[in-house]
Amino acid sequence: MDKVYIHELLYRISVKDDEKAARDLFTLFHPKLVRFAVFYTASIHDANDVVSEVFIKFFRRIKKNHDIQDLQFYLYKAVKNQCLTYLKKQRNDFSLDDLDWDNTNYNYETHNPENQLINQELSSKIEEAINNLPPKRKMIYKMVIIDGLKYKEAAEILDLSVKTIENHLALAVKDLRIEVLTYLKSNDMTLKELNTFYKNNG
Amino acid sequence: MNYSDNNIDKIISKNLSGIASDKEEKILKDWILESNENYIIYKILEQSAKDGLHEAKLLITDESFEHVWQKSISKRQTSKSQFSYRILKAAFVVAASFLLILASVFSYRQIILTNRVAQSKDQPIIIERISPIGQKTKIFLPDGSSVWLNADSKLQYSSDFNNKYRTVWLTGEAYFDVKSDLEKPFQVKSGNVAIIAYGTSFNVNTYLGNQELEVVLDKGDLLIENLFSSLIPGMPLKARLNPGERAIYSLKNSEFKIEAIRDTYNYTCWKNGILSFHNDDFETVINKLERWYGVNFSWSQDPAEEWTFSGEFNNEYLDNVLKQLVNTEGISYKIKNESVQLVFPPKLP
Repeated sequence: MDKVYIHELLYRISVKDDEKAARDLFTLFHPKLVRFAVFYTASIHDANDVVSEVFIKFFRRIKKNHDIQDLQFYLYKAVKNQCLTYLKKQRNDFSLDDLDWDNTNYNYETHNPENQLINQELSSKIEEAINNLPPKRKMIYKMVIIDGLKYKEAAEILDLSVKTIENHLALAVKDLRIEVLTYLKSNDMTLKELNTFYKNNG
Repeated sequence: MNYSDNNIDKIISKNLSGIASDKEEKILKDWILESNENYIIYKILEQSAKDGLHEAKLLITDESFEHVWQKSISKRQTSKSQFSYRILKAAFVVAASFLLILASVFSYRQIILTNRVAQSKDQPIIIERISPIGQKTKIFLPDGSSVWLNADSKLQYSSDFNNKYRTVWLTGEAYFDVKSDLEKPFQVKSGNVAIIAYGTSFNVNTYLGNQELEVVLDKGDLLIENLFSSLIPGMPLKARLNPGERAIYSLKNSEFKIEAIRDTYNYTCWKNGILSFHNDDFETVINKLERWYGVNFSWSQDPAEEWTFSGEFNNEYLDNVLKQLVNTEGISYKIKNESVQLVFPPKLP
């Protein structure tokens, strides 16, 4: 995450009401946050509403918010709180344990990604493997490894210990390793081929 | 080799999120080199973490943003008056983030440098422009911005200026007329201070006495940051200027002082060849004259402390300026080559 870039965006939004900067910032975080919110709301539609609500509040207070040092962490926490508010509205007494963790899978159409470095089949294979992880583990893997949150931040956001985060990640990596290995073996992919592949793709 | 499986998975995940220790990195390296499979698997996981997920790219909808932006802009809170107070209060907290920002600036610069080397073997070079004593220079930068460089001043910029940040380093005094480009902020760096602009006109002067840096904003807006504030807790680290404001930054105490000035003219007219004094004290007057005309002053004694001088000279000869100076205070002068000697009237008993 390029902190200088984010700092510039915040500055432009707060001083100039720069819509383009706001759009860039939104584009940077919105998808991840929706993905994260689905974890709580179990519906993309509601997750989208929750994240929009967080961004509306955030932009309204941009003059106060433009100094936030770790914006990603801040937004994840804000989304989580907004999700809990949302869930409390749904049920009077709610705790994290009530979450139906299995209900958090959502389907996407396959899409031709641009600028992908790994070949497309392999990368969708990995993505599939990530999505097949147990729900909690999947969410932690996405938050830390893909989105770059710190162990401590993920722990705080999810009300778990750092140790638990560490264990979940190790188990996730183990599963993914086995998946990749199976894939490679089934495709007879040799190191030579892979080297050629990396050479071609930088 | 004996790796507990669980252990290597822990290390892989730590390394993927960039927090593996040196020792762990070494273990990982050994594991990677142990077999082709290990190597391939690690490479693939690493690449997938870098590339992100396709699903993330599918979620974004422009309508969500339009909705959010319209709703937020209708009820925007402003808190400008609280700004300076809040800076002080939050200085310590924000200091940490600045260290990070600074670190990423440096790493970014490094990346740029290495990329360039890889692409063309041409190392960016530093371009240096100097205005000697007694001369002023107008410089046109590659991005279309103009800089008036006052006498005895130096401006440096890299040949890859205009890549992402437009950064110049200044010693002395200069007036900047910055071409607007929101994508690439324009930064003036001097000592431990950075002045960040997007498309503005302003004057920067590092030649005041007492190790002070002065910024006067003509048009637009500016952010002034103390780049090293993170090293000293509690140090104020940035200030924002509005047009017609003047910031004095004390390099010694790392303090900002911002005041409104009636007219920026007095601070910027030098670029049009106008030498102006505005209740300037003796030291300031001498410094200005020495730099402007490339001469050296000597004087028999210091004037009274309340001595000040005001006046404006449009491309005048030194002789004419000195005549004015003498008129006001009964001082006499002698010019010999490049030296000027001032003789004060004897003090009254």
